[in-house]
Amino acid sequence: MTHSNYWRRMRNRRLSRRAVLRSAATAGVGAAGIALVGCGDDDDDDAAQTVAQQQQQQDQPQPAAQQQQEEQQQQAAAQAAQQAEQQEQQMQQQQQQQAAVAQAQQEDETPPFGGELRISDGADLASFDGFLTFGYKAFLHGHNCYPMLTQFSNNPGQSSIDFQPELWLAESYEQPDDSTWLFTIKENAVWEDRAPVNGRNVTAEDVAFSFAGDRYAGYPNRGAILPSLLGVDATDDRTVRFDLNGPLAPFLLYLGHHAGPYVMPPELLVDEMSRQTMISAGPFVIDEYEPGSRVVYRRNPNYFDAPKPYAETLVINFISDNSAIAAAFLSGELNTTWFGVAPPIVEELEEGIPGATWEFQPSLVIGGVFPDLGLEPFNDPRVRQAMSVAIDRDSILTVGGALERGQWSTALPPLAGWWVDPKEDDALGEFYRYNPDKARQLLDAAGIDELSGVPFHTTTAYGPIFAEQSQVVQANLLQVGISVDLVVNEPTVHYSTIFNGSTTGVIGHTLSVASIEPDEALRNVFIPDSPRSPIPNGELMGEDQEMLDLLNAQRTEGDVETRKKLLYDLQLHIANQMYSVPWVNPPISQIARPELSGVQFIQTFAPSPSLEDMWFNNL
Amino acid sequence: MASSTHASASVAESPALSARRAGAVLVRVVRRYPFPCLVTLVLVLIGAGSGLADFIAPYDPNAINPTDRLQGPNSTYWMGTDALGRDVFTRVLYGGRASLGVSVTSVALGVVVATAIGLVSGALSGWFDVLVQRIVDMLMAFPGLIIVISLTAFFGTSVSLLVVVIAIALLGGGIRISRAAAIQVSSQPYIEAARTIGATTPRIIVRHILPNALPPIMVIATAYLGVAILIEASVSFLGYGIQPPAASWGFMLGAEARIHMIEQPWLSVWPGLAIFLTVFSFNIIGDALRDAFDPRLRGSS
Amino acid sequence: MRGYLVRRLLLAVLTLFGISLIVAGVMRTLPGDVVDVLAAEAFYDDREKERLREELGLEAPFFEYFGKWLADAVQGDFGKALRTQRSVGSDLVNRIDVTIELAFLGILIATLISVPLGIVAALQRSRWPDYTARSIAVFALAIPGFWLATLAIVFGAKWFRWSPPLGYQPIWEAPLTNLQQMWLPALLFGLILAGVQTRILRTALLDVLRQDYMLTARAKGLSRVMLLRRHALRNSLIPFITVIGVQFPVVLGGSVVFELIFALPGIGIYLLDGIANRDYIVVQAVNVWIAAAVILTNLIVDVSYGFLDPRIRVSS
Repeated sequence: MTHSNYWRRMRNRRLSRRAVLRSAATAGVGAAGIALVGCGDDDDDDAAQTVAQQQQQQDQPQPAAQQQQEEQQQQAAAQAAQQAEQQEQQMQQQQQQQAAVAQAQQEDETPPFGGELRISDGADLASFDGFLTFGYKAFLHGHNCYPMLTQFSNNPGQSSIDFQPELWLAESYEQPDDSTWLFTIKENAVWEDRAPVNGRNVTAEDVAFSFAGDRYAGYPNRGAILPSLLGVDATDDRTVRFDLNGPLAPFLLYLGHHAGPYVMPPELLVDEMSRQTMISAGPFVIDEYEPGSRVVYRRNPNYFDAPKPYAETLVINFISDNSAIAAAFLSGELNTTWFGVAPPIVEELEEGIPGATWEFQPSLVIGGVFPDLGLEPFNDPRVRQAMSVAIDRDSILTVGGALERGQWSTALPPLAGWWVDPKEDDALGEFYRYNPDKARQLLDAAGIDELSGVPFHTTTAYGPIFAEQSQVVQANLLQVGISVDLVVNEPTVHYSTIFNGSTTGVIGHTLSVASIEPDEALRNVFIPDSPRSPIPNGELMGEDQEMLDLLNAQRTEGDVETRKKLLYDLQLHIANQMYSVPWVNPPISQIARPELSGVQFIQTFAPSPSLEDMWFNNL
Repeated sequence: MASSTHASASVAESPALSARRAGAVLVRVVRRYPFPCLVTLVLVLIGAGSGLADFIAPYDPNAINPTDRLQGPNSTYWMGTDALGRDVFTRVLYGGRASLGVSVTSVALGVVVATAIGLVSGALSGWFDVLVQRIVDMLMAFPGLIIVISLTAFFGTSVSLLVVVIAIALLGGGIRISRAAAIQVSSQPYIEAARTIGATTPRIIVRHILPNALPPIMVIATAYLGVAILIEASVSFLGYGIQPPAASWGFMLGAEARIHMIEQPWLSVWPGLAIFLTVFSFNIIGDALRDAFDPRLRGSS
Repeated sequence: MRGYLVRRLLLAVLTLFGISLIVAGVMRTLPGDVVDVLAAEAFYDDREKERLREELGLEAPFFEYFGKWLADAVQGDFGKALRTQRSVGSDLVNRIDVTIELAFLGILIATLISVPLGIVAALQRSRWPDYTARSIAVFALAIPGFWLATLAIVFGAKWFRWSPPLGYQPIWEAPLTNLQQMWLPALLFGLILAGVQTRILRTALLDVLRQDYMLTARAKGLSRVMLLRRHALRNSLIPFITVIGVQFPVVLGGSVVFELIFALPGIGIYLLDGIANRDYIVVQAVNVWIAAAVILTNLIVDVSYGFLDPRIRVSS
């Protein structure tokens, strides 16, 4: 099928959704509903920006900083408080919206209950306890059983990568001062009636325990929140108090981060029971776990957000082979599928199943070619700039079958509102547009005629298409006289060498972690001592005081427009230094069979809070 | 023995006469074994195509052209293009060089080593034989594929190491067969006779046991050529084979074609066909060789 | 006979010991370890990794580690998987039935195909039925299993909207679902195994048909069918059974591909994941189990010769 056809259908789908909302508005639900309709009319980007304006960023102050900084922080604190108010208002608005949507659904399409939702994941999980094993697979499962205080909002009509927090386990919260948060958890939240927890209420103690010292500290992926956290205490059965060392504007969002912290009952820690099973307070309970094969979940009748979830059963099958996933989807063994299905295959699949719906989202991983900053001649920024303009990013997207829907990364992944599209910005675009002549000039300026035998490490860890795209990079570099030797690493070797930037003397090609926030994304890669940076000899970036200052400034800047400006400067500065040569972000696709409705997943590295919202429309 | 007298006789004859004689022999062989001869011709064509890829191939095997990706067979690209827009016909030719190269060298290595060990072990018996037998037992107790995966994960993936690893996987069976042949030959009266006139053990192995044990070894070697190609393909499928951008049939079929199976099924047809024809030919030739070498079969049909 | 058995069993133990040692050694020298795998998404610092290695016993010197593992394994305790902390023994028990069923059905189908083909080929040697049968056999030999499996699953879904039901069910719990899941991989596996089996059966039959007693029997005026039933088939059973013994490791190795593509949780996948995750405990246990299975099969095959061929029974 043609692409224009595709977009038309995409629009059709949106239209029907808008119709739902419009009926909500005419039902007189209120201004919030109408405002939402307005948002839905716009393009994704605009809608995202509106939301992004409300969601302002504030990082925690560093202890023992200079006077100047402290002043800045005080200012920032005031702004953060303002933001919190805004956020609160927005949340109330959202709740109204939800009510509107719920009513609309009742009028238009009432979600029926029942049905078996069958999805797949690439492999068995190492353990159900995300605190112990740190594998993201644990989070895909954890979200079905363990609630969090907040979650990413997933309302229809909203772009699902806006990363708006909404309350989940928490019923309400208050903020007596900038650095203190009091959450009241929902009264009807109960654990599953199974030993050793036996159906008791979810208490504030459980929440506090999930943040407790060692357990939480051991998990560095949530480093975003930890540096600000002084303590967590249960003040009564249902109230939990967070003491921060300063204002933290995205606190509510970080509480709903896809990597947890999930609230789990402490009783499960006995004999490491938490590894083998989960005791649920969430939308589903584990019915059966067949190692190596699948996990079967049942609807949790005592879920605090009843009547959700709509599906009676949820099955997560472990299938690693892409052909097998495609076949299972075509035959109806899977209702929906997302990971690793390239867009051309999606179209092929769609043709086979009339009425299937699908959605593309930009991938929010940070990827690129990462040369060793200490390796001659890649220690010269001109050489790295040459590499960047030697690479034909559209070719890479073409090879992934994603030319129309893919984006080019800058120092940031395409995070709506913050990322600047280099195709549309000349100053930034100059560093990324395909221009082999300029690459040659830059290499000549650096005194380089030809380079050969440079090890270029890539991997099959992100699917075979990734290694195919590496070959495009290889061919592009060869055109300007840089001959690299391709080394394809198996996943294990890749993760322990290139992924964490620990191997020097090479150029690595990798994807790093998905980020939901520009601060998170930038700190992952460009802080000189970041353990998550794939840049070999990244500590050399420590000499770049200008970048470090900018990084700090954007973290403490409360005003959205000013912060955007700072982030633009940062993207330009990093492009000029070209510490990493960013590549492309092909879209992630989700495709659902016609019987499935309400499908919207959130593109983090684990599909997030959407499973409880899905329902079957032809039961 | 018989073959060596033939060879020395033909050397003495004039070139014209020997050419005519060779032609006559050829005609007789083709008449007698038409099918194996046809198959040999196919193999020769595949071998020549791979060997002369530099001259025949219409394109550069690694030149990418993303806009022309995933085409079916057409007049520009006879076998279509792959996901990077490379010409599949060119890559099948170059891929043959890698696949046949890996297969022939690994089998040569494996069979030579296996024959040496097997013959000595069969001829000597005693503690050496016991030791070899235990090692063979261990080798045979592993599935070949698992040996290859473990070792490539260990050594990394390079063509020369792949050759060594496939050779190791073939070692067990090779030793067993050459040892059995050596034992069978050793019990023949003429070996006893050679011993009594004072021939040393190395001499007996090289002069007497080796020539007589050669036929079964050659038969197994031909079969192994096919096995090696299939191992290379399976290893590529599991992600441990020859590395891109170098082409090999196994990689083209196991990694490149498989992920685009739904979009462009043609992609897997060509390397698949190449693998099939080659393995098929090696097996048919192996059968013909066995029939020809086996004196009991010679007269009966 | 008993002495022979004892000797064979002793040798088997020796072989198993050697295999354990080699596998443990090779795994320890692979680049990366399970902690790297676990830390991949979490970005542990080195101190954290060190702590985890200590906890998992990876810091111990090789022989201490191997000795401890061996002592436990001899008592039937194969330890806990490093990655999942689940008992490897119970994981294996849960998974072995998948692989055994696949192997058994595969060999069964291969036999159903290869016996008629082999008989026709041997009786009509060097005529067109022989060539046809042998071509079919070589055809089966020359097709990579993963390719056949991918074709079947992709085009089965594309053309017939069918693929095997997901979520493996053991045959004694849900026989119907199980067969729906297994028939396709087993059939394809059987086709591929049939290649080797046909060829060996043909050779074996040819050998038997040339024996003097066959000539005698023919001279006595026995019909061809009787000849085949009374003498030839029975006597060619020995090499045929040998072949099943020889095929067994091949079958176990080859099943990996079918387990992977058909998402069957067998021991092939378990081993492959074990290698990828550097889970030493899993890899050692699976290899020892496979090796033990192969050695045992060979032993049974050797012993069964005695029952099939009186001459062998007397001489040993």
